Amino acid sequence: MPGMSAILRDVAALYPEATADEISNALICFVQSAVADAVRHFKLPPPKTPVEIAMERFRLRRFRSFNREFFEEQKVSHEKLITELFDLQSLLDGHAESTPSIPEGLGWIPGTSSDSITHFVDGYPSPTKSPAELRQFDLNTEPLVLSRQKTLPYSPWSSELLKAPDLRYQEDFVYRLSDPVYERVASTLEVSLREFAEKVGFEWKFSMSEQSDLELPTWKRFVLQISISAKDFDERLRLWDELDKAVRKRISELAEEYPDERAKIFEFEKLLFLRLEMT
Amino acid sequence: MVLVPRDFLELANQLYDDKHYRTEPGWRTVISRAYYASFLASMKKMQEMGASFQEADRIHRDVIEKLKDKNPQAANHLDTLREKRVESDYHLRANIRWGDCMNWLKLAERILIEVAELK
Repeated sequence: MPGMSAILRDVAALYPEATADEISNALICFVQSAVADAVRHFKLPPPKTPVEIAMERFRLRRFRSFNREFFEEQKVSHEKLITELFDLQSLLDGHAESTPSIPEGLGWIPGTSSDSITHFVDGYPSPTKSPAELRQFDLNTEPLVLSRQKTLPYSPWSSELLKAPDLRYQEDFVYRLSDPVYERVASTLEVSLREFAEKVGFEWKFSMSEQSDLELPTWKRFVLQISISAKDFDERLRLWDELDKAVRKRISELAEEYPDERAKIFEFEKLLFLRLEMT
Repeated sequence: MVLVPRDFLELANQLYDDKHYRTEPGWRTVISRAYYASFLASMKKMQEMGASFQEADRIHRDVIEKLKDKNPQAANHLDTLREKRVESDYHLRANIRWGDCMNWLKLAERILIEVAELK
């Protein structure tokens, strides 16, 4: 494989009229494009669903404290890396920046994705232009900015972009998720909540728990606590009712889909109450 | 004169408006009366529709569950109001505010309407 100096000489030979600055600018473009392409093609792990996050938390409780702390540190640093890579990929794909600090130069000369240096030399407005003019060309080129990318809502790196509905499982419900039927119901519920929240807008927060009644301790209920950013009381009540209908419809469909689990799914539905935060 | 469930809601509204009861015990009582108006109206309607409630110690549960069979959304409303009533009656450290009482009164009013419309 030829070294960088040999490649540079070859390129310079192909464009004898190009100045050293132009060749070196082309090389910079090439390197940046290659790095950008590599980052763009990183396969990031799929975002974890709330169920997976809850299960992980549940499993962690079984670890010894030293191991738990070690694992948690690793997890935080891993998630930070994924977040940064996700932001970078999003930026390189032409989406609006999520932070004010864009790595300069990445994504310039929109539309260029070639992996050859000669392409960048070809891509200059004119080889006769001065380096100053070439720099001006780069600066004046309108960046390609698309609307915010729609991504899966669970991950920490996308929730900020989308204000995705926030669903949390309380400790008293998490152990239920080790049962595959409840796990399926919870996943279905998540989809239903997300679709509804995305359809109607507003900011939503959900918290799922299993509660005993203070006056009748044998009475257990699954409680989905809801918080909506809508201000108007009637609007909030309307959304609460609509959400309840959507969720129960989805659970009924699930019961049809899994006839063997029908009784358990309906048992869940019977014990499910949606409560709205009224303040 | 026989009391009707709505009488409790009217009392709750009067307490809410009365500046002499602008104290936390007053607001807690507003919520409690609002719940009982809703609960009693629901029980009465369920009984008119053929339900019977034998066990006094689980009557609140039975009413909410029967109501859920007829109108799950109304049952959510009653259950939510009940949870607030329990908080108001037992949890003395809970933060009960005058400004929130209006929403609880509106919710009780909504339950009374929903229950009345049941067929």
